[in-house]
Amino acid sequence: MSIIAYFFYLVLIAGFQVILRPLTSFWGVSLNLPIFIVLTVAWYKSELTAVWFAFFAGIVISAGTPLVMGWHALAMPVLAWGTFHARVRLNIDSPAARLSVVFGGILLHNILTVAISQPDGFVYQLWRTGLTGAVYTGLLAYLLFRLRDGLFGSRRARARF
Amino acid sequence: MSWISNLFSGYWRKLHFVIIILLALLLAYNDDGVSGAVSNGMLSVLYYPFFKIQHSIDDLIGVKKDNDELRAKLADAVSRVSMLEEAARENIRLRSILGFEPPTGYTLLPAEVIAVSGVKIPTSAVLNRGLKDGVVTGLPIINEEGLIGKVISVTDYYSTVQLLTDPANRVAVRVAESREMGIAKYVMSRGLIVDNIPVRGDVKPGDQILTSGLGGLYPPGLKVGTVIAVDHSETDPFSQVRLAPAADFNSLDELFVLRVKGR
Repeated sequence: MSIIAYFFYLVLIAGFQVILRPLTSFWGVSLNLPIFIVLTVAWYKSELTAVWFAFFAGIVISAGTPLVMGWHALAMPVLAWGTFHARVRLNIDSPAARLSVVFGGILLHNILTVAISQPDGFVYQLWRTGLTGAVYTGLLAYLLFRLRDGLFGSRRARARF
Repeated sequence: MSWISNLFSGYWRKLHFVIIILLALLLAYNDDGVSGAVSNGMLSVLYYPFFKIQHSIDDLIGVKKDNDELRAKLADAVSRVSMLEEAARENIRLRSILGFEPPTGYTLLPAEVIAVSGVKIPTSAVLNRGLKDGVVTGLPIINEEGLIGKVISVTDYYSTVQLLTDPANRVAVRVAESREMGIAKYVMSRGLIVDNIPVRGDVKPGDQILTSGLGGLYPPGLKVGTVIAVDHSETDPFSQVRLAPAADFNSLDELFVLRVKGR
């Protein structure tokens, strides 16, 4: 996949952060689409592609908060790297494995995000927005995976992503 | 050669990780310089179009909200204006009847019309006065323009009026100028008429028709209408006089019950 496609994903992430995230949030719980995209890339693509894309995605999602930009730029590649290495030990075509790893990654990212952005009241915020947001995003991930598998089949989905 | 290739490949891979980690640490620990510049660049290039879109969406939402509020205010203002206009009309009507005097020996009881009925023209009306106010069957109803009708049924708080325009109503009248007498009635096809005026009588358009007082139901001198035409045939000894009613039966509002003084 060309670099333009990854740039398009970064633009998509920026658009989501500005427009869709506020619209899809409720009671302070919001979707974490950027990490879902990063983990999906890591699930299907090469290790270096995944970590570099994750690095830039981390910069993009923290563009409004430069104080924590470096930590996001570090956390995202670590999660992408972890997802890549989990995938090589699992059946890549298994929907359950894919969803488990992606959900675990989302949960870890939410925990890291709360730790980076809201260290005060960490436990409360983790329960209030971290876990609920991970479940919310996990449901979206499940639906999107089902949709993609239904449209293309898991092998063809892998080829297309 | 393959182990050299693998070594180089592993080295290359590790170099990427080292670069990424260094860049991330640079952003983390040099937040005033590098990360601020990167942030500005991201915001002005990547985010700016979305901020514009978001701004436009907010504007649209704001415009819709303003529109809804203005519509509600407009509806409220229209209803207030309507109420004020109605109050102004009522004020004018009440001023016009302020100096209205009842016939000698009678008192006026103000009443409001709360319902009218009739097919083409109102033939009966319900007033907000009843037995509790001293209204009884047979009392004449007038307004400042002239005779309206008579009370035909009463309850404690309401009374029903048979209007002059009810074809079943009959009123003894006389011509104000010539003093000739007749019976006024309403005929749906012709309107208000007086149909037994002698042909030789001196009745002409523009003459005033008043109640005659005969029969004892209505006091004499109440205005019933104005002659607009006098019709007669060669064979009929009586003329038929057509009247324009004194009162406008299509806009009945404040009326008066005419009560005999002392009762």
